[in-house]
Amino acid sequence: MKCRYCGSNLGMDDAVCPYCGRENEQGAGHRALMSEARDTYDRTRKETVYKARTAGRIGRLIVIGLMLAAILTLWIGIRRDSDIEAREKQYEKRIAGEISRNGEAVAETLREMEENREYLAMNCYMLNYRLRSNEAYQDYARVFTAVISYGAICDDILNILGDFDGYQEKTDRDWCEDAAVYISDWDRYVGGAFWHDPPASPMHKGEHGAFLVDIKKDTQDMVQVYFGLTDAQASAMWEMDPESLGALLYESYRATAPEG
Amino acid sequence: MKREKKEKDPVILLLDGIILLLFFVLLVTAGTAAFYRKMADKRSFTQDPGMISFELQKGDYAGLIEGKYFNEFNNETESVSYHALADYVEAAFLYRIYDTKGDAERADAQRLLMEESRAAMGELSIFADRADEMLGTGGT
Repeated sequence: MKCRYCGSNLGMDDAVCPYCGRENEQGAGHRALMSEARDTYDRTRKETVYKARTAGRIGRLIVIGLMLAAILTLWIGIRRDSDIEAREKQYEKRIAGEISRNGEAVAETLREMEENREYLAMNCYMLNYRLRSNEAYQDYARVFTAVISYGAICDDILNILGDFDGYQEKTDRDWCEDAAVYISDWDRYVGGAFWHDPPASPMHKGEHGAFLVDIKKDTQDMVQVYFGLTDAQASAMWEMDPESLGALLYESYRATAPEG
Repeated sequence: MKREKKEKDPVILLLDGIILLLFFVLLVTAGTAAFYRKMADKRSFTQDPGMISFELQKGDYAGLIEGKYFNEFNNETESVSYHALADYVEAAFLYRIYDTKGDAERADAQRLLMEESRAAMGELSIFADRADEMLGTGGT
């Protein structure tokens, strides 16, 4: 554009002519427009920055809220699931429900195990379904005690053979003494007066009675074979006190398997 | 034209820090919750292959056999090969008793179980060899 007073070249933004110093009236409208545009730009920019910051803050607060909600939910879950007592109660309830739904199947499985003399299986089955504390299986009291003792003695032998310390630094002698306790207590708890049941009680008559005879014989064979006892020692072991029997089992085992 | 450096909102920076912190808290909490959830879903005595393997390395053959029974009673079939090994150890344990005591019928039944189990245990047969050595049933 040209200065209307001196004809020099002017820029649109020049307020006065740099040559004659007179006011650039032609650019006034443009400058006003530019000033307004700048104001609008600044205002819009401020608004945009404000909105963006607000949106950013709100978005982050929402994320934080969701994360806190998730943590809270998980924490409630941890509180519920880590309560061992409550979990055990829940488990007992579930077991009781299963037994009431499948009572006949459970009883039948137990009968089969008893008939087949599956001592270890029966021990685990009884534990799994908490049958020992179930009144419906009271007749099995001696049988259950017998399989528990058989299982414990079997475990002791396997622990000795497997050189397992039971996570408590147990030695072969400890396992021998443990087995001795179960053997010494056998007649009292499995066959004796501990249960205060009458002579004709189904606890030790019929199939249960035959089972108790067999399991005692099989336990004796197991101890005799793995501890290397003589026939006389094996027959006499039921009458021995735990200390003497523990020492005998340890010495006999050591004689057949010297400490390596 | 030099671009204007954006000024970071300190509040947003603080919130980002909180989000990062909560992310780690969430990770730890989720891991813990998953652990307890798994524990809660599990039956009292069942064992997973990792646990059985750990116990086996320690020499806990009794735990191996018991773990198998509890798994079977609770329809846990994840550890099939370990179950076969447990069957083998139990059968070998009984075989030695029956064989030594001259009960041929029961010894043969256990022998058969041993053979069937060995065929099903795959790579774990090395543990069966170890069990044979331990129980004295290797030369049979």
